[in-house]
Amino acid sequence: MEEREAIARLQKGDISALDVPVREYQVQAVRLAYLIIGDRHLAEDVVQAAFLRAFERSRQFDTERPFWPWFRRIVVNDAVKAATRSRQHIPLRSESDEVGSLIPQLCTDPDTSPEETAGAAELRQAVWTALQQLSPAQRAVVVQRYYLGMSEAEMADLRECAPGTVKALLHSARQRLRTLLGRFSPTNPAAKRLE
Amino acid sequence: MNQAQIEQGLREIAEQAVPEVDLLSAIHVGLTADAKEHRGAAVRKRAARSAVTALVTTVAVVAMVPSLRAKAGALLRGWVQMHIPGPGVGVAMSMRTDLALQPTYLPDALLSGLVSVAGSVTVGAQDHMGLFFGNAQGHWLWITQESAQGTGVLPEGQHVRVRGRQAVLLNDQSGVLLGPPRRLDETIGEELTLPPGCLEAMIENDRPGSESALLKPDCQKAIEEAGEFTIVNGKAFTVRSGQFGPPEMHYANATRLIWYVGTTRIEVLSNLPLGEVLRVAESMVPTASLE
Repeated sequence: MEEREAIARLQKGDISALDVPVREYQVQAVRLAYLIIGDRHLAEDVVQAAFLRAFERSRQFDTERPFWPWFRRIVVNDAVKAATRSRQHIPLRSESDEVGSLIPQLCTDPDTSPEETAGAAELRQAVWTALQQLSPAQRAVVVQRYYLGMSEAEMADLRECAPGTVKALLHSARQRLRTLLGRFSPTNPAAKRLE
Repeated sequence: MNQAQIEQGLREIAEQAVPEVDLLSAIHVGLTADAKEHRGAAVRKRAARSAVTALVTTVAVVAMVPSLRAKAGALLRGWVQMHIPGPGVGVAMSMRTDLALQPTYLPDALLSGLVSVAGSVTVGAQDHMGLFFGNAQGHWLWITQESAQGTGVLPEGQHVRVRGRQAVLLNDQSGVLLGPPRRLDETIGEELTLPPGCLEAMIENDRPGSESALLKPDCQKAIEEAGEFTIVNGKAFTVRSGQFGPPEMHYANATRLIWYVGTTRIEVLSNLPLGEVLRVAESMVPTASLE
């Protein structure tokens, strides 16, 4: 069943059609929620609930438009709310969290030296640590901008606010990241500045 | 740190933390519960008035337990509010900052004649905060959620799973509950007049601009001067405290279910049948998704 057909069936109340978007988007939706919330189980709960809400709201959906941008709006908003409520600061070495153990595995480019690899792992750990220290709203804009690759105009559309509001929020998030990651400031003049 | 490094780092962290996922079965369970919820919508509409009573009783019960007085301010300033959506949608109670998860299913046996309260339950030497639902027929259900202080190790008991997470079931539990059902009109005080935007910012405290509205001096001053208050249906009311004695309810043969969501320890304690306790636990979803 194609996505458009599935959405049409959802709009007619056929809940079985929900399987199509779930199969297609569950992984990227949970990854998105995870980056904002920092807890995989809670991220899964948020996405499960988001799919059910998507079904309930399916009549509001324009079938001429793709499902994912519409759905990720629900996921981002719910993830921010969940992160705000849970007020969790996930420790990097939590016994149940995958992040602590995965960080050293990141960026193991075979062409890099052990020193470079260690430096890259440290840098990635710093990124994650810094991300956890942002507010949920700041984390969301960082994830939207740098993980989803959304433009400020798209983010403003998603948040249903003026572009200037997103610009201000993104600016404060970048400032915070710069402060938190200050010691990783690029010494290479060719490195692209965080923007 | 440059932009490309951040982009790559986020991508790799997400991919490795969530290599794959299968939500279909869990969603189907949710759909079953949802169908049940729609069948019970009429019951819940009848229960709406009682549920409002329950919400305000939260305040009264918390206020009357001395050891919880310190927490009461935080709870009240957690901007407790009640949502009563349109017909057919049902009722959702939201204690916005204190409860990360809320049940989407409650047994009809409990909803019938609901006179629910939230307050404290004494277990050993500790008081716990949470949601309490009780009815006139003597059925009751406690849900508490607290940040885990230790490593999140579950106690010994029968192992079960709640939404895919490991949980422990303990039978034949006994103890004391503090906090009887109370009537709305016995606890709610005068409606408070707050500066423009202040109440809205408390209710929608995660909306853009809410924080700045809350931090305005006139809003801060009004909140401080208000003392204990609660928010019901979008209006703020003072709370008449100290009017109620703390009767105790001794319970026995209850079921206790414990599990963790992230760093939050969740516990359900009830004298309902085991199947209903498990079903309520299985129905718990992030508060955000109920709004």
